[in-house]
Amino acid sequence: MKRITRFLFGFLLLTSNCIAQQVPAVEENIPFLVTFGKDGAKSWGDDDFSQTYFFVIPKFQVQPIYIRVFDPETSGENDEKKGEFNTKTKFSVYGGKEAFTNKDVRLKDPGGNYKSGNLLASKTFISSEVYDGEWYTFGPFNPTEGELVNEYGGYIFKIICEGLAGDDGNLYKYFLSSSPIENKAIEGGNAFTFEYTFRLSDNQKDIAHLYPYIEQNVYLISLSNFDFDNDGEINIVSMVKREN
Amino acid sequence: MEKSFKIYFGFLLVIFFSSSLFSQGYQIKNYGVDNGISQPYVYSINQDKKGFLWIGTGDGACKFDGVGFKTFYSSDGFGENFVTTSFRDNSRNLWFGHNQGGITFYDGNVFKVINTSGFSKSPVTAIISDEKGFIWCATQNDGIFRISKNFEVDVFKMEFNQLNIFSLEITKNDQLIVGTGEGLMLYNLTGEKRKPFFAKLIEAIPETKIQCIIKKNNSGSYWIGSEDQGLFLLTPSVSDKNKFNAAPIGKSIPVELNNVQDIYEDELSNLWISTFGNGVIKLLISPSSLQYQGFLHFSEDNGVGTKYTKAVYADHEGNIWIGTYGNGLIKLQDNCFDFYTPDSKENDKGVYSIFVDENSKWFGLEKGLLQNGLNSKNQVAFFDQKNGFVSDKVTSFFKADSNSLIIGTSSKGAYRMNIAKRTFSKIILNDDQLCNCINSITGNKNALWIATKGGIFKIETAAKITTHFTTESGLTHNNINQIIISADNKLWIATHSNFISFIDEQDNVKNIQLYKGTDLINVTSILEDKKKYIWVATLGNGVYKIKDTAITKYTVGNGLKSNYCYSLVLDGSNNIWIGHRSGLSRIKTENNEIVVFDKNEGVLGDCNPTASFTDFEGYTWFGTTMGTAKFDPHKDIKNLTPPIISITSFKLNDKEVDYNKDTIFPHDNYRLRIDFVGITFKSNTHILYQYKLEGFDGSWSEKTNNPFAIYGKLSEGEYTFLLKAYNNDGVCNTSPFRIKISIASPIWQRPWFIIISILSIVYAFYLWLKFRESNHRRFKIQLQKALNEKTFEVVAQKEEIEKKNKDITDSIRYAKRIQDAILPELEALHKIIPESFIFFQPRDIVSGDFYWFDRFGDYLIVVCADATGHGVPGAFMSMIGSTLLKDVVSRKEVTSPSYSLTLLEEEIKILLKQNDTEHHQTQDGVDIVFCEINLKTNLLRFASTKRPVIISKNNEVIILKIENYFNKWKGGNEQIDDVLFIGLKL
Repeated sequence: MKRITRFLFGFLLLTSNCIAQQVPAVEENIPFLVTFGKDGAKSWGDDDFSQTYFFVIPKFQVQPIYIRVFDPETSGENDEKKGEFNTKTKFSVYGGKEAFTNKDVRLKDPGGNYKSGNLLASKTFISSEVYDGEWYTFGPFNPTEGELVNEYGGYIFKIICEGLAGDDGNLYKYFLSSSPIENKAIEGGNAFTFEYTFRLSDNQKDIAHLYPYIEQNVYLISLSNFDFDNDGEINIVSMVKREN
Repeated sequence: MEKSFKIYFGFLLVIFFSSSLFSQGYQIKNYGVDNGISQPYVYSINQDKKGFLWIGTGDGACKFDGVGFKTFYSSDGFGENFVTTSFRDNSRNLWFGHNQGGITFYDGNVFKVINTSGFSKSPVTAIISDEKGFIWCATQNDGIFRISKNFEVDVFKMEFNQLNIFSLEITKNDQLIVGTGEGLMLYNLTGEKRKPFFAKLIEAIPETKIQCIIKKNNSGSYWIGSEDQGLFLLTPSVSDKNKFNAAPIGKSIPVELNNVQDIYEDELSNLWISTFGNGVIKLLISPSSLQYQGFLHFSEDNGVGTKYTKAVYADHEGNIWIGTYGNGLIKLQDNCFDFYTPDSKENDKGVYSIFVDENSKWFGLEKGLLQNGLNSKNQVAFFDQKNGFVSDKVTSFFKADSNSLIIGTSSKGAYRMNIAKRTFSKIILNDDQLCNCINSITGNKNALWIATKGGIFKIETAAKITTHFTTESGLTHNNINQIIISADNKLWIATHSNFISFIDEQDNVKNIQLYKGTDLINVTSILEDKKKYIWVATLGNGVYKIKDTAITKYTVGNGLKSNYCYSLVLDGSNNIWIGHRSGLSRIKTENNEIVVFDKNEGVLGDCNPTASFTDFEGYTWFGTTMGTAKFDPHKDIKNLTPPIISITSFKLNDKEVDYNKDTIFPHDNYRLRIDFVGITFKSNTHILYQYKLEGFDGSWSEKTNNPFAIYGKLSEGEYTFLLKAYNNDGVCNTSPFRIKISIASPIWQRPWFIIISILSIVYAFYLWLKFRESNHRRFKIQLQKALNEKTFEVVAQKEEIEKKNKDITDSIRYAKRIQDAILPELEALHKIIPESFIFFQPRDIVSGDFYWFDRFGDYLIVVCADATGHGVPGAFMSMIGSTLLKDVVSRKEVTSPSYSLTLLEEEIKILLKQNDTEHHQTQDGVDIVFCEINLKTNLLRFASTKRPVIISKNNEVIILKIENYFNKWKGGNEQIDDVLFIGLKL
């Protein structure tokens, strides 16, 4: 059984370093994000059939940006098949006002106005094999079409992946790129989420690493996970505690 | 599968296939951030009522006048910096929609922000207007709102049930066609408030994101652009307003029409389609079938720089503008030139000779010959030494017959090509190297003429005789630049010479002097026009036109780009084209008008000598160092649109003022400066202005390219500033642009001031008069008072005088009584002499005259006396005299009148002390006549002193005058003395 784990954080989970806009990040050793079709069983690890991710574009970025999705369709080798592939997945990119700052976007479950902001692009992928193992590119986007959030230093775009129908698991990756045809990182760009649903490596010896970002004012961290089957372990490493 | 098309302008060494868009004929100009545009993401393009272009970007709205950009932000009163859409209403006001739901209205002068913060936060995606003048705004997430002419807003959010709206239009039936993320919806406007009410989903259009809805020209139909289902034409049913038919557009065109962002339909019904992902596609309509059968494609490969576009727009001059997503603004200008560049590693970009016939286009390159159009597929072939020709610069062509092309090279002689077989044979001239440097070739049915650096060769066709013409034959130079055969079969020669030469049919060389200077001019090219004029181009001396002996010269002074002219060619309209470095000049022979074409028209390379040709279709080709430029006369349309004039600055005394208001400027001597711009988006480098300030200038200024007018000293008066702007083709606005300027006259020249002044003067005069009058009156009163006083005084004096006079008169009258008493009475005389009278008329009350008489026995003594003086003094004397007389007469010794008078005199003297020398002596006395009358004898004895006696006898009057008789009447009338007569009748 492939391990699909969802971690919920009360704070941001930022991919570390400033140039990693690949989601999941390379250093996490996590192969894919996952979203199941809404007809699927939650026991497979996805409780809400929706995943929201945010990308930050630095203010000085003038050239167009692209959000690339690897294997957006639910088919082929990478995806989790339940019976026959029958899943429809929709990816939607939002920008503009309240794309990030709307309070509903930080909810545990997608609800309220979590689709706030301006819909810039969307595409629904069915179970075909056009993009199996391939990248699909959203964009170009004018960086200023994101929501300017000064505390994050730039414009924020939101991408929501929804399992519209079916019961298969769509495994995919993101890359925030400055090129439509290759993964070329945007200097100063970043990606983060408030709820991380991902697929662990099949190799039981592999260790996935998560690096949650904790803001200065946070004094309490609550870490929860969904459907972490009792065939693995979680280690929490604290630099402070280690030193102490 | 996506299709990709690549378009090549140039020629390749390998054969390739060209699409129907081999030559696009558009000049492309890109405006990016470096040109002043604020952001390279352009979402909308529009043009305001003053002619300025407005480019809506993600960071401000840029106003463009054809020269520079000026960006407006929210800090300038603009609603938001991010402009998502724009719309021009029927009054040519602009409406801008913003990314966070805002609306900015612009009337050409001032921005007005419409407050939408309470209901609209998502991008405004579309703005339209209806026939009632309402403005409808669609937002992506917040429904639709409507703005009235008074800027009142009605919001319709619930009616759209959280639909994402991307486009909007209104039908003639007052229905809204709404483009959503889920297809095209129809809404009826119901009730008095015209509230949108969902009618139906328009099923004729696929249920996909509808990104634009554009009204079709002169029709009730709509162009519908979808995200991924292509382009449609939506037509309402005539019978049922809720029914629509949709026809897909461009399905037969091999180009993808997806993600349509904007559509523009031009006057010829061609469609310009802006797509996000496939550039801009121009669908060309077939005039015969009225179907879209051809297309032009503008994308990242051919000047647009990107395949993502958001807007397409045509300005008032017909230039096409493209708003790109990330590559700024693109202008497509219909250009009458096409440009072709050889794409070869072996050759430079230069084209040194050109020949075009019905089958092929021939281009002479640096190291060989290029043939284009081998067959219907427009294939290309290149010939050099590898395939039987030579690798040398090809300098000239001549089509000897349908299958023979004579080719000249720069150093390897002349060749005859068998076109069909593609074989070459050298034409033997002679071994001299210069004679193998071919400059020009021409001929007719009789002979072939080859011009070289070593003279001219004539090869007679029939006799196969070659004649070599050199300076020895009469040529003025051996290096012959060009030769042509005129209509009268003369061979005209262009060479280094101050003469123009020709060889007649008898092979005689004739020369016409062209230039009389001491230096040698270089004639580079020569041609004959349709009117048989010979035209000659020179290096450094411009162009000459020759007819018989009449020679006309054209130089830079006449408008040529340069006096260095490398080539001449005649186009289909009998215009003369001159090739220069980096440009061309064209002389219209009908009116000698000269127009220059240079980098503004895309002509960048230097024209190569004699490398020009006009083909059978009327195109004129020019070989340059940067390839070939082809002139299409069909596109050489005079720009009849004059520049739109706009005032950019209006300063009085270096201070910006608003000239739009009817302001009367206060009196001053002003320095006036007006900056203006003639807005044209075609070539704006040759815009000329002419202006006149009515009331100041007597005539129009000279045409100038300075975009300002300055007047140093403008004083009071009414002025009108008139301005004309001329475009490149000399077309100007028919009615001059006007600004009325009123400068107030100084206060003292204003009518009201003058009137007030006059009135004031009059009033002052009136006051002065009144003052004087008052003074007079006062003076009069004073005088009157004084007079009264004096009068009173006088009256008093008069009264006193009168009183005194009366007293005196009374006294005198009393004195008279006394005097009368003394004088004897007339009755007494009557008793003595009955016929007698006494005429006694004193002048005054009392008299100085007196009389006395008395009888002494028989003697009557009568005395008339006149004492000196009259009045009171006289009366005194009369009293004295009378008294003394009585005394004297009564003396016995008095026996005669004279003795009486003697005694009387003595007595008077004694009495008046006239003998007293010690005191003042009076001179008073008495004039007297003393008569003694013997009553019995009537003997009269008298004695008189200065008194006459008048005797009347028998009607005879005898006057016994005495000297010094004093006349009693002055002037006969005025009694000046007493009068006394005593008359006695004896």
